Amino acid sequence: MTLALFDVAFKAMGSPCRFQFYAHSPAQARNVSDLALACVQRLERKYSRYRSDSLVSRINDQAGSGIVPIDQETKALLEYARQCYQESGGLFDITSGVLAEAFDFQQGRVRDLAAIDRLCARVGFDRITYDAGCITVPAGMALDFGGIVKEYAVDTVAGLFQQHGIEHGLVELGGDIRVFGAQPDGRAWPIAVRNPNRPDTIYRRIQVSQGAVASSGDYERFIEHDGVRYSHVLNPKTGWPVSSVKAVTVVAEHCLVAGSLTTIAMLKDAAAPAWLKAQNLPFLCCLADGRMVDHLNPAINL
Amino acid sequence: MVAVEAVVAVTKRVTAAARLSAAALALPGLMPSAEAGRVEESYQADFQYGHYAESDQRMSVDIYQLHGAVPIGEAMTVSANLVRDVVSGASPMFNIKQRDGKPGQVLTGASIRDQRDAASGSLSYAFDPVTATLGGGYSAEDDYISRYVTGQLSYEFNHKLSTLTLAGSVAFDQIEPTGLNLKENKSNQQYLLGWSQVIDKNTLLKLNATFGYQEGFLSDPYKSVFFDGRGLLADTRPTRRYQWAWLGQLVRYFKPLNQAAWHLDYRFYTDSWDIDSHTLEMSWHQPLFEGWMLVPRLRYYSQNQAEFYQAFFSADDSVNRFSSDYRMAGFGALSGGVKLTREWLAPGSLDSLKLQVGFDYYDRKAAYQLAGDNAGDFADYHAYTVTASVQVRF
Repeated sequence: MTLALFDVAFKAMGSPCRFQFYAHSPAQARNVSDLALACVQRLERKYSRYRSDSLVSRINDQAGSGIVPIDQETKALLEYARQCYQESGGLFDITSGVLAEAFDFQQGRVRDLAAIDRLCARVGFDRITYDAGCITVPAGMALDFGGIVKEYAVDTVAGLFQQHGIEHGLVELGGDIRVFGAQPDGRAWPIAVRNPNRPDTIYRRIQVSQGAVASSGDYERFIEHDGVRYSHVLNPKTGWPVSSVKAVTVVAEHCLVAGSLTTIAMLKDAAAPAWLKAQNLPFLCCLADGRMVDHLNPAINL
Repeated sequence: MVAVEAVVAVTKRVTAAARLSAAALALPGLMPSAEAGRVEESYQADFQYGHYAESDQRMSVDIYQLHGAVPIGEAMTVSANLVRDVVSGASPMFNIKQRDGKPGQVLTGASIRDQRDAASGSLSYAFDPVTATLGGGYSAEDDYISRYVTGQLSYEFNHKLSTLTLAGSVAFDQIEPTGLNLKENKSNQQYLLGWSQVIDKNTLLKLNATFGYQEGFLSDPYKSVFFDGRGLLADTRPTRRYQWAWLGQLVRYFKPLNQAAWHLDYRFYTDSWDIDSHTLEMSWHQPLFEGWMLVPRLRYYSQNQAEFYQAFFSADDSVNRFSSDYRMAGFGALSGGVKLTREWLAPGSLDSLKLQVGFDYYDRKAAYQLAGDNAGDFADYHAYTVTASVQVRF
């Protein structure tokens, strides 16, 4: 029995997604990709802000009026979010989603300048209280796991493939990628990194046989105000989007960590390149003026 | 001041990325798949046949083994084992003093045939992060009955990178040797404390310490001892034995070599009969292609003799404990073997099917002993074992 390549493309979490892997038979491939798909859909149903029946929507609907029971997985995600909040000095904040109300990213303009200060008062992860069983969110505040769950899903699904005996493959959800084993002939998987200055083109390909590649950037969603281009990544302290960094790509063992590092780096604004360098991981940072700080190694083996 | 700066430098080197990676490992989807044995998730059945044969048409054993494991709910697994050994051939009975003054072996007749049947079962229950296992067994042959119970607790911590294991077993045996008017008992207790640690993603370290205590009739009723000028006396050993052993095992994975793994084990054993032994074992687990795996193995063993051992005794030796059993002698042994496995994942409606064949060669020589307090090469022999097994998971 030989290994054959299977390529499953689908749409989830508002993005194009893909599983590419080698399996022994179409039946095995079908079986495991169905499980993986169900896992992505489960996480989307549970954590999407855009679904009224999600756990996150229920928590946000109850803001200021009650406590909502949470499970162990949600508690663990909140704990991880707390770690991000601490590591970033309060910049990475899963309650900062309300700030987006002041901006219209569809139209690329500021909607309500006067609202920014008011919105800032409704942000602050340290005002959320939770324990192993339930969570309380103050009135006016809302949780948004958008910056965590997609990456978490990538890692979880990669683990699922491995648990089912798939040893060569990759998982990609909306541009965030986790490779769990080189191709059967030993070759790494070529991963294309987009050029933030010209998003339709490839900046370069990197070779990955184990590890994750995550990117954050203003490719499509940005606003222009007084001649300054702002990304969609919002600084909870100022209420304004960041403007010094156009995009960041980080390579790490886990997609979740790579994704959090790209977001924190964007929020570090002008300090992003120095902070990324200190993390000792391969990265690419595209500054607002189009300059590239390229620390991607030609071959990456984590 | 210098020290303070050094501390600052060290803490600085732990990056935010490293701390986030550690935090990420606490998430349910990202937990590292632990090496240590988890409760089976699927039904499993194994059948193994083995044939062991000693040189010079001495003892040979046919071994038939059936094993099954059944999951009950998410947390429990019941497993059962049936074994039948059929022993035939001659075995050493005693040594005599030859005309040249050197010892020579006297064997039993070749017609001995003995069958041992054993059944055992266990139940394990995982209430994360602890797994508890309780088991017991019964084995019977014409002249020997053994009953035992075992218990084990293992505790996983440190994001499942560390496992602590506590285990104990107690056995009660009855011996009624054929042709002798004798009915004896013995008991055997064994305790184990083990620690296994995932050091990094390519390295696993296991350490364990065991303590054993045996009491009762510990002699071999089929062995005799030659006293030159007096004749034969029955093998007579102490009625108590304390045993201690320490084992260290290192497993190292080599990703670039198709996930090959190198196992290195060292065991030191000592007991109250003054036997010390050293065992060094190495094996290489090489996945080949399409589910094939090759495992070559090498092992060296050395022990010194028990304080009451002599190849034979003289009439005026005034001893009250004495044995000439070759297993109580000082000797060394080299063994090596190879196993070849082919595994099919998801064939038909099964989860997996695994076939395995193995060959082992064992060479025992007094001359292989580390520090030579041996009684000569008269008890040297070699043996081989072939095994074949099939395993299905469904």
